[in-house]
Amino acid sequence: MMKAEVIYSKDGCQWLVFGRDSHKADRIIDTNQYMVKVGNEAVLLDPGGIEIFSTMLASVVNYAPLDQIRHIFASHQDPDIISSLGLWDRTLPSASLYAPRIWEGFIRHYGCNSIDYVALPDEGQSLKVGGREFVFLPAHYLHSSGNFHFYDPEARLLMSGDVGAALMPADAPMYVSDFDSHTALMKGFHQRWMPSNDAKNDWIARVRKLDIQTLAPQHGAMFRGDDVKRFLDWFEALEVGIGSRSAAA
Amino acid sequence: MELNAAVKQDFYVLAVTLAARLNEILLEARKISLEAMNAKALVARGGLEMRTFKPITDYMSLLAKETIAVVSDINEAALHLAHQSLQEMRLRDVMRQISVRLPDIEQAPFGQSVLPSLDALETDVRNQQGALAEKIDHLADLLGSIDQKMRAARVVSATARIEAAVCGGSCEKHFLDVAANLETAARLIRTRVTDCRKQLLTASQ
Repeated sequence: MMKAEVIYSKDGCQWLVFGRDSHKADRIIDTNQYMVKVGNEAVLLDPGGIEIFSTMLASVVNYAPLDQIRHIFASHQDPDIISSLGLWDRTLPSASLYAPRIWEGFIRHYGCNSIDYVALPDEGQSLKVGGREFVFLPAHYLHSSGNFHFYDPEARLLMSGDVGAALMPADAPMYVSDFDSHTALMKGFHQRWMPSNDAKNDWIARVRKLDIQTLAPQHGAMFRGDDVKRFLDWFEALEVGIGSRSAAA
Repeated sequence: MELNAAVKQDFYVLAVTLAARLNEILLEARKISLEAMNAKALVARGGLEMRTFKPITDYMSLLAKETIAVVSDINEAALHLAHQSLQEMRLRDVMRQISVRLPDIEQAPFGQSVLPSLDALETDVRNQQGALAEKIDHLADLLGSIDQKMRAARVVSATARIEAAVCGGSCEKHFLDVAANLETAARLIRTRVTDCRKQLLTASQ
């Protein structure tokens, strides 16, 4: 079964992470899905691929009835993020999908007939859920050309998509416990998947201005407290976009 | 909660197979058209002596034209069938995905909230299957109409042989060839149509 854990709960707002799916096929990358619940309204963040839809659905209804899930967020277009859209489209017909403007024509290929596609402008925007305000934070070229993260200023929590991702086994803990050893699990991924040092540094400069207690990536383990700053320092020092070198060899 | 998602043959695969077969039918229909044009030229050269052959060549042209038009209709119907089939398959896939975890969903605190979606899905699947059946019938009717035309072609071919004998002389061989070619093309088309109908019947059972 998929693990589900409450990662924040205060003032009627609850953040949940769903991941470490033991039913998942070996060759499919493990993903973290998130849900934010504020009162009687919920947002699904990067709900995942087709392959994990049924497990996700069974997990989600432990925490909220389907009619309360009125918003879905797709940080970018990748199949492990949102290829389940066609299935959610049949189970959450009244929901809205918030996803990058430039990916609309592509994401719709997954099936988006009932769900309302809200095209996020490049500069980002905010979203009010149950009277609480969240931010769609631009993260373009990290790694996708149209990419957003999801920030909760009150919970001080940033859902950071592929930034901070690590490839870890299914029984790995949900939080980073030893940052230094964890970098080995992140390095190759970030160097290969993140294409632009400029985009990376721009994102780091903007994110440093935010108050972040938890950094929640879409793969691997979450960062808490001082590990968030450690991650930003580590990421800043890392040279990314190295894939072209193998072509030049 | 009970699911009733009968797994059926996916018709979008069949539609592609039919399209390939239809192309062969189209080629044969064009051969009939060409044969009719050649025969018309012969009739024009033969003058009064061959005037009785003209209605036959005219009918051959009409037959070819109508067959080509029906093939075009079938192509469109097959495309609609493919689209309908994909939609129906997607719906069944959602139901299948939900059914995999149905016991867990039912036991979850908010599991009952899935029921309205599930009911709507079942209704949609039934509607899609009904629409699919209609499209299959329409396709079968179109194939049937080609079959009828080819039966008529065989009658025309027999008539052409009689007329060839009546005309006699140097034209007899030409017209006998026209009749033979028409018969061959009609037989090939009927074979292809029979194959298509069999596939359609097998898939829809």
